[in-house]
Amino acid sequence: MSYVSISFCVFLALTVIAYYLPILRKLQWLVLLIASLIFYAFTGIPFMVFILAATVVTYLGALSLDGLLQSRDLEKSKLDKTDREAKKSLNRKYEGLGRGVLILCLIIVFGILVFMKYANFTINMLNALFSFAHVNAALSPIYMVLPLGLSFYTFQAGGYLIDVYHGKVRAERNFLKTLLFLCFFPQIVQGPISSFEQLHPQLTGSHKFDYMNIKYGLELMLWGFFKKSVIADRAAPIVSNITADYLSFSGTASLFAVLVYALQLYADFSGGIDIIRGAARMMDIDMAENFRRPYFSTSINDYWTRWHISLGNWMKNYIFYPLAVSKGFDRIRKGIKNSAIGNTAYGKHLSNVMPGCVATMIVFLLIGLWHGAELKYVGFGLYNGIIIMISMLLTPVFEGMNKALKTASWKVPFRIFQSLRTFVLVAIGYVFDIAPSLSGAFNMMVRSVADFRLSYFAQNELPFLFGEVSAEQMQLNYIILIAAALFLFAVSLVQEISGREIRDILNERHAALQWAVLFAGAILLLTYGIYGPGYDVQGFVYMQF
Amino acid sequence: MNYRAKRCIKTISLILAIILAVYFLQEFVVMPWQPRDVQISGFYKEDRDSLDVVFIGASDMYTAFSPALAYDKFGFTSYPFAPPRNSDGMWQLQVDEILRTQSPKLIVIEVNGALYTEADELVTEENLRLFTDHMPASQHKNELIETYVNKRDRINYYIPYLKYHGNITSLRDALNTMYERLSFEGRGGLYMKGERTHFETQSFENEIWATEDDNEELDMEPGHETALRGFLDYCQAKVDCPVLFIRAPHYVTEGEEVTLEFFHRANRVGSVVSNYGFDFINFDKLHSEIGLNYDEDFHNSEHLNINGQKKFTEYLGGLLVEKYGLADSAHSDGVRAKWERAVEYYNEFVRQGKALGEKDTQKSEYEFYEAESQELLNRLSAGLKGS
Repeated sequence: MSYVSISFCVFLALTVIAYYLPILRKLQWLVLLIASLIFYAFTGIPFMVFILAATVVTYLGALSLDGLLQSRDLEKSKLDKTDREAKKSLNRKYEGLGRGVLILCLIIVFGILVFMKYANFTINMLNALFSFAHVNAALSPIYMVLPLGLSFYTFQAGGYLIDVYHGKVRAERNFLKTLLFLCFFPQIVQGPISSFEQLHPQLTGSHKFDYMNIKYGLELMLWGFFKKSVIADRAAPIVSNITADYLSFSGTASLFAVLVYALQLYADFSGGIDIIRGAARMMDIDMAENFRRPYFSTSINDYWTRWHISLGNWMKNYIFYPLAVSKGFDRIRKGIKNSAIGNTAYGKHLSNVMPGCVATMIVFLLIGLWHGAELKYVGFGLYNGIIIMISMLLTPVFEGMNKALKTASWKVPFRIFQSLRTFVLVAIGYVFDIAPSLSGAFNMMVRSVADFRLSYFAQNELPFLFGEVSAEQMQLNYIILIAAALFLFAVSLVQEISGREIRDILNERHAALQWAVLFAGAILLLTYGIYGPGYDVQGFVYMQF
Repeated sequence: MNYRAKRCIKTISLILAIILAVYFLQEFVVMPWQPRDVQISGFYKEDRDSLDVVFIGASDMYTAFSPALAYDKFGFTSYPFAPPRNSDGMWQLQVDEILRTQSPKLIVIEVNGALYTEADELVTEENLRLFTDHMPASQHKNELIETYVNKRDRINYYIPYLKYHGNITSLRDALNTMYERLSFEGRGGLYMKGERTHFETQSFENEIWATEDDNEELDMEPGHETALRGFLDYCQAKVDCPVLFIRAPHYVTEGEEVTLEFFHRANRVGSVVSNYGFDFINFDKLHSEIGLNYDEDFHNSEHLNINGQKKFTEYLGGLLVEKYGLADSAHSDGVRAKWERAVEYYNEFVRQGKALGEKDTQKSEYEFYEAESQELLNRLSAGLKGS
């Protein structure tokens, strides 16, 4: 069941009605669970086996970890307060047991993901290696269909287990409530990856009907449908037509595809998240924010704190920090400090940032692999990691340049320059995403520059990028796309400058204006959205990840 | 009224306003509005039980017979419920619809729809949508959708906006369609009762084949034969009024072998129909008796033009009166007034059409609406530019 369908709207409406029925007030979480299971069953009942398996492991693992912590605290309370050695030995014992349970659970939970997502990637790599080494062996790929939301609920389960291990949250004792945390239907398709601490209390708590929640939720959903249906799905054929056979197009077309993809991807992913957050908001549940106007970022580092925020936070909390403060990384720091350059100003800077640099590279390598089991995604991750690493390593140089150029005195133009520069760097990264392969990505980049033919592109390629549509329809598509993109930009600019949501600003205006805006928005969406028979409604891009 | 109730009313009002706006756009702007759509919609604008004869067929039927002229000459009312490329797979649902809305004294089936060679043309989405899009809501409409459309797609038939919402390609087109549709509603349907014709004669170089004595039969495509036999069974079991099968006038030339095949297949259809006890008249064998002249009365090999239509209407009308006793049909004053207006409009239509010259392809009153709308939009646009 697609989020952009009448069936989803009907399904959501029925769920919301059942959710607020007074008779079910104490069982709201059960309504959500049943709705989530129905939603998930629509994608294929066999896939439910995977989410159930992950839930069983997570549930039992969390209970065991929580039990170990409780036992430790109980035993600790019985110890003599002055017996520090006994305490240490107790801590060591339970930490070892806990770590063992955690690692076992993580191996099982992430093992499913790794196997389903990366088995064929590994087989292809091994086959390539065999061929390179002239070994007469070939492994056959395994036919598998990736279960819906696998990587999203796996990351949520992993985060929850780690949080329980650290004693940050208590384990949920109800299996069905753990299942709800992992399969909550608005987030199952493309996240956001919520933390247990943030989402679980909301899912299991009691919620009163509030008109404003319904209104805000619907407004957010309307905005999400606009981004997805009017912009993303209209832009999709341009990107797919070019990338399907980019060698038969000019290099300018490749460049154009990357720019349109930047628009499509943002509208698609953030639109989907708005629909999700809107749907949850109608049930008085606040989902984690996943986007904060990423194309206004001033650096790649800043971009990754604004784009897919929930994945970034997950990586930061569960990979980056544990690595950066680990003993191994501390050795790197000390190694540089004790080296010949350790006493220089740059040496001190290097010893401070190097552990972070290495941790960043590892995180981005994982982010690349998370996006897909292909070398091009590894390239995507490494590219981003390298850019951030360079910016970290050269921070003193950049600071010096800023001082010399007195950038502080031309704040706004410099801010615009930073955003444009960051956008260019981000767009280069997108080439890895849309190219057919890693070598194809480099080829596209080279062609974009070496085969730049603007007038040829405008006359011979641009009019045909929507496929077989009439000239009138083609013109209309471009007009709608440009107008909608400008509108999206204007709204984002207002949000960026004011730091407020448009719906909050709108809510302060006269009621008639609010209703007029909602009415016009709904009609424009229903008229110019890509939906219904004869329209190429696209799946969400991030669904495949 | 408390705060909550007020909010509730406001929300419901907004939802209703959106539904109404979408309904308006669906009915008056985005739905297809070509001559064939107008023709089908026009059928539903006819007063209940006001039609004496209803014709089913394809383009060769609605160009061959003029209801207004027939009313003028013989006094019976009729309507061609006959969109282009109509196939025999659609006949039963059309007859069901005719019997649901009218009580005709006679149903005439032009058999072109049984002569096609492609089996997949029995009930296409295009054919089905042509009816369901313009059919008012009814149990029969629901049954049609449930019979022919898979479960997943049915919603698009009940709410055509889902399919057609992207049809607004320019403001001018949208205004044009809106004007035409509102005019249609304002006039209460079609003055000329679904008739469409041609004012020109296309020249032909090849020799005309003599068909009057040619009784050779060619097998029908099996899918169409099954559909035809199913329809004949249905007529025997369910239709109380007489059903007449005809083949409207065509001509066959040396260069158009397909038309000869159609002719021979029509002979086969005639045999099948006669075996079921229904009347079949092949007017391709009566060209001389009707007085049709290939140089003046045909638009092309498949369609009569305005001259041929007049001759054929007078011939067929006379035959129907004689054989089915249609002349003494009695209708209310309101219905008679509408048909008298139809005759006036038809005479004016023929006068204006002929005045435009042979090269003009004006075919139906639809084009009059369109011309009127375009003129209005041009004036509006000139006015806007001027201001």
